[in-house]
Amino acid sequence: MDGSHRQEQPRTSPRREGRSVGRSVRRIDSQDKVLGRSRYDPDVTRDGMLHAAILRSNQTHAVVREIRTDEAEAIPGVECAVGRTELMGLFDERVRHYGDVIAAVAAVDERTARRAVAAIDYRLETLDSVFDAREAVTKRAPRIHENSPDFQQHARHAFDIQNDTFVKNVDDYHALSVGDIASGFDEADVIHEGEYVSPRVSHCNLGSHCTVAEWEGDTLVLNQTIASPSRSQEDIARYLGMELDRVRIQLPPEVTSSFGAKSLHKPSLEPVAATLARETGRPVKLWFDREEEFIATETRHRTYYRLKTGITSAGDITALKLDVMADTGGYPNGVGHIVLSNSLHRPLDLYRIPNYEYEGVSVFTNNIPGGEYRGIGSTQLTFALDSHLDEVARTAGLDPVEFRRRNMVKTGDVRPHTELPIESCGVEECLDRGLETFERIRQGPSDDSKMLRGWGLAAGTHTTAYGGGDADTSDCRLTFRSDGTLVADTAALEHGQGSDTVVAQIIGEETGIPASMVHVNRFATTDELKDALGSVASRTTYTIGAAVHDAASNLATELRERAGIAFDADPDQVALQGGAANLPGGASVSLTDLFEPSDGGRLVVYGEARSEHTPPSYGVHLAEVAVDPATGHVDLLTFVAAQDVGYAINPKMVEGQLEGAICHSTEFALFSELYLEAGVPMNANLADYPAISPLEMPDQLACEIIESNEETGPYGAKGIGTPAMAPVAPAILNALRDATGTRFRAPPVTPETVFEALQGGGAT
Amino acid sequence: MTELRYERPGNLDTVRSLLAENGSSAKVAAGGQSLMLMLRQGLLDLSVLVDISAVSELTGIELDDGTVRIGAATTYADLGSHAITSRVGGLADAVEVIADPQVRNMGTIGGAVCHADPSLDVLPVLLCLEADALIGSTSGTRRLPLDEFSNGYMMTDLGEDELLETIVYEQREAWGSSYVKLAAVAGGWATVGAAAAVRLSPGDETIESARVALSAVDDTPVRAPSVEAALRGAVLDPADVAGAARVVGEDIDPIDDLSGSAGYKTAMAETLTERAVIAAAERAKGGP
Repeated sequence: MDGSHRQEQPRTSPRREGRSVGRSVRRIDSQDKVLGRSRYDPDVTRDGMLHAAILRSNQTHAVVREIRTDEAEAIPGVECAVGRTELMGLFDERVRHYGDVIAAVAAVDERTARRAVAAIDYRLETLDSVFDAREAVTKRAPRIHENSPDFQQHARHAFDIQNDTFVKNVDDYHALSVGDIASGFDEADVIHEGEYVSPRVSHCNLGSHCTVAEWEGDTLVLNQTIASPSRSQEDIARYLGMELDRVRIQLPPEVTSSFGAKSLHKPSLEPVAATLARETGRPVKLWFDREEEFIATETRHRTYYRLKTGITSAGDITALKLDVMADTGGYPNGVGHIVLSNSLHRPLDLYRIPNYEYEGVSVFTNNIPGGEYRGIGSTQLTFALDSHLDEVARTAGLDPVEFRRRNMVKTGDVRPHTELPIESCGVEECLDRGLETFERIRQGPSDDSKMLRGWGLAAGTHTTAYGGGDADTSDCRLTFRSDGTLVADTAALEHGQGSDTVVAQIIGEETGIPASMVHVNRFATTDELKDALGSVASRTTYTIGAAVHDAASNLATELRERAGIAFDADPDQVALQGGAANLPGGASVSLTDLFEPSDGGRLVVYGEARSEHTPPSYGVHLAEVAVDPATGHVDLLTFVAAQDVGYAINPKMVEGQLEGAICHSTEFALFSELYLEAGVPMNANLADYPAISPLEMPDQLACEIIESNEETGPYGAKGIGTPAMAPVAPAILNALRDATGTRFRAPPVTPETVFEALQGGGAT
Repeated sequence: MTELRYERPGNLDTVRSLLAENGSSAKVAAGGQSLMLMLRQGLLDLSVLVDISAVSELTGIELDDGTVRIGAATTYADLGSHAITSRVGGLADAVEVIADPQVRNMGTIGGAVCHADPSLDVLPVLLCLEADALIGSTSGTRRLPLDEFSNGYMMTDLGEDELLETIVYEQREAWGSSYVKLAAVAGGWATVGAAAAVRLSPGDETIESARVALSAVDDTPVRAPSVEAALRGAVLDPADVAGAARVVGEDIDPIDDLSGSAGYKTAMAETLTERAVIAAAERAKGGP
């Protein structure tokens, strides 16, 4: 394959004046948010609403022997106190991590509820704990759960463990063999091995988890941000032992950010609020404080990787063996499965690997649970994989750029784990344009001889949506009103990524209705409209956007037909633009004049989408760092994110997604971790947990948007939010390797770690 | 937990009286940046919270014949934008790296001194200025050198009925000062911070006198007398300054914690001391 030619990608949706998509349209939600008019979860209030607080375990593994709530219940204003085993759902008498629920209280205000929690008497009988996933699988370890316990978690599946060292505490297990790994290593001229471990990073959402639970008869209504409402409705209903349609998830007027943290229910949120609301007969608000946000939600899974790669002297990969162990923490939630399956797929989505052997296991420990976090599994896998491949190239004396180029997948490749070919693949253009921009803006060697400088790159990918047809569907309803406004009922959650604006742009593109006239609503789970997964997995633009596109096309057809009748013209000749229907000859009619009395002032159309595919979105990112050897401080000088997004419906918001991903993954690489000592968090607050600000962002940052035109996505678009994460951390760590000569395999790489390594005391 | 009474008196006498009446069950709040967190974490059991932010005698900065008086309730932001700070490089350096603008708008210099957390950035700079604390109560006022004010980890010499009212220092021409800090993230807790104030001999070739103080390396913010002695009369040369900074380990007693190991902090105390002294000396150059 000749890599020196840049492939010009076709672009079916050119940018031109007057188009609604492909332009950096101003966000339609910005004014309300900036002016403080938006109303989020904690703003939801009900008459007679009570406030909840939770007594949480300060032990990591114990049996709750006794709970006495009488003193708490005697406090004026306390309406109800409930012990762990009386809670609705699958709560037994055991607590399994620091922060697990012991009891809960509902009172007239939050202060009283927290006071009452302090007045609950309880006795715990300590059990042996295990905090290292590698020990937890062994037969000596205390049993936290039976293997594959049934907590009604989604994605639970049967598995057959083909490894007799995995005895206990197995949450999930995956294995795959492609080709013949032994002969693959036989063919290799260079074989390299490496071990890596990823940090327990926390999302640090500004808005912490909050729900208002209320009962309408025997229907539980939960008012809260939940990014995957229908999947959560199923999980919650099964967890609580209720019928599916007896659980209604109602989203607040504006949802808070998620980054995966709010994809799914949390054991100590919805079940607790639901119980207290049922016991008191009143709505109950439960709002996590910052410490609870750290200890009672989830972090990214701490994940251990072992890689062994064989290459020919020319640089072709002949074999890759990959072993993965993810720390699920105290409870299963179906996410260990995603970490393992994404870790399994990503190497094959990115590189041509003829012989591949994979084994992944997710393991219960007495740590804070792992859960969904932007680019689940792919983010940490890519850190390990592209750090490792950088080492492989260095070991073999190969140019890291050409080594990657040589092994990257191409459009049309059929990957061994899926029968679907890659429809759009801009990874090579990412590499070329990324390098070109990087060479232009990087600072290069320093004048200061005391500072170390280096650069590095990494490639990465993550898939768009969930695919599989029925498992990835979405509905949309558009109500066009005779005052010219349009209400779009969709499953798109505006977490801050700009989905409301993208929805409005798609509608504008098809119907000519200006974005400023569009209001986007999020429908509830028991609405007539359905959606399989919500705003997760980078499916918002791809799948939900496709449903909006379908509905908007239907509306456009209706409007053109009406205009055709009004003008006595061929509907195909009618152009919809600027809120009007126009004919080539100059005749024009306002869309609002196309209403008929029988419409009752509104035109309602529906649309739907069904995603068969999961197109991978690719990125090549480049980083330049400066290291102060006297302190170990790492300064991120330059960063270039070249990302294949299929088609950028709103380029400015694509840049926003990339910049946000750089921020999150820079935390992963250099700054942040929820530190646990024997399962107990040491920094569960924002003073001690190092969340970064723009001051830690790269001095120079450029985003290169590559458009490879994904035929299955609206206007050629595919996902960006999660795929943007993957290449960031390895690019930074490869640059750090270049600058210091040391490979750091256990981020976050703090200044002290770098300092020790440069002093000769550090490992690797 | 007792019910908390909130008082916001408009004059100093009332503050003093409230403290005299309530003793240990009262606490003074100025910006509340440390106190409110401790209250929320249940670390304090109080019955009266005395907010001093409306007491005009306790806010603002006065310069009188070379004496600078900073009211205890003066915010970091007001301190940072005041003309006196532009003359004391170390103060400007410290204010700039304290947390974030929200904290600087609320947090006060008196709050930092009384909270006595050794990692607070402004404290070593005040030690280098050889500032004094003016302390008041219904029985009168007293003056205490700031390096005697904090006498243990987050402990001070203040009596139950006493209030830190003013920070006082003498302006000294020809001194240059600086503060340098390492932290996990910008505005975060200091891993180590070093402040220096330096006066050079005529011709700027040797250090006539130096003061060095550090944050986050001991129970209290500390002066570094061994380093100061080593710097006295030293040639202003990077190697000589580095040599002097290398004795800082004798003046500090860091612990292992989340921000770093004791060994790393000692190494950083050396590096930062060297950098602070060099920066302070640069600012002292060409002085009168």
